[in-house]
Amino acid sequence: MSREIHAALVIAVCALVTLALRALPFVCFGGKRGMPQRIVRLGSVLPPAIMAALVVYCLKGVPYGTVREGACQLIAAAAVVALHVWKRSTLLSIGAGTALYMILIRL
Amino acid sequence: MQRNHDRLRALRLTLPVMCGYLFLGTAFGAVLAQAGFGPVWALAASTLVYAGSLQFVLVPMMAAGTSLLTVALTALMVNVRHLFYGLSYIERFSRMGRLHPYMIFSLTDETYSVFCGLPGEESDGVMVRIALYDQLYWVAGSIVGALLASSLPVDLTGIDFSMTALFIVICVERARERGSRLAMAVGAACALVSLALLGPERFLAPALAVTALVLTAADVVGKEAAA
Repeated sequence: MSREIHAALVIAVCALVTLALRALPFVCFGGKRGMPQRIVRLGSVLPPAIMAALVVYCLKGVPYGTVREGACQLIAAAAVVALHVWKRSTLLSIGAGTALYMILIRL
Repeated sequence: MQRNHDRLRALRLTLPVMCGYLFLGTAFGAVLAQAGFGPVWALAASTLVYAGSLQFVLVPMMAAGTSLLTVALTALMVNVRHLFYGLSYIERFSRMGRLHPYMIFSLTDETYSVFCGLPGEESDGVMVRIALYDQLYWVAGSIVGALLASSLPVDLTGIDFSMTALFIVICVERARERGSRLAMAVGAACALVSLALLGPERFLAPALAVTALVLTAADVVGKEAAA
């Protein structure tokens, strides 16, 4: 399979899954039926768990790459946390954290 | 008259989203371009998928030729929260006739939060413009980012760290809620164990699936214990 076709399929799959997820409540619960309580509870607890797993995913190279590269990622990640706890500005935390990482890997 | 009023009102209500989406969209476009996929791909992804976190995660999957099954599973887990956004708006959207499908399609985190923040009932004209403008900001940012990254003689290596930063920021924000902290610990633990067992290439989809299973099991056990 060529790179372009695979890439197009990745977008298509993501689009379809996302649309299905967004449409499901309207399809299933469009009437008077409510959503089961278990699903509602999971709905509040699953997203943060997934986000944490995704952070691990982003930093997955740390145990397997060079110490230098791992250090760059961890330092920049710590900076993002610190900045956000301090100022709570999404733009600042992401912007400055990314800039810091880009500088560190060039040192 | 009414149209201009609706346009201005929607613009005013989406101003914070505009800042966020233009910035993040540009980052996404740049990350995508760095991976070797230009502005047309940015346009396609932002128009068809229109989901920030997932769009960032799909870039490495596109670059690495990841199996479509893994892509589907990842998309499912990353975007499962969208299932719940629609719940609050079933009734409101059903009154919007032909616009109904687009309103459902375009319900992202930010658009959802704008709707939640509305002081009262808004006209269809305002609602659909909120959704539309939000997507326009995102698409515009993505194309600009992809164009800049492709054409500027600047080396943007490392810009993909913006995805890491984004997810960390979301976690820090959610960590303010006590229930979320435990959930995040579970998610991180499942991911770390999965990473150790399966290695960096294969661990994500199993990690997400196990996280969902563990949380469901905990919920079942918790309910049984309470009964």
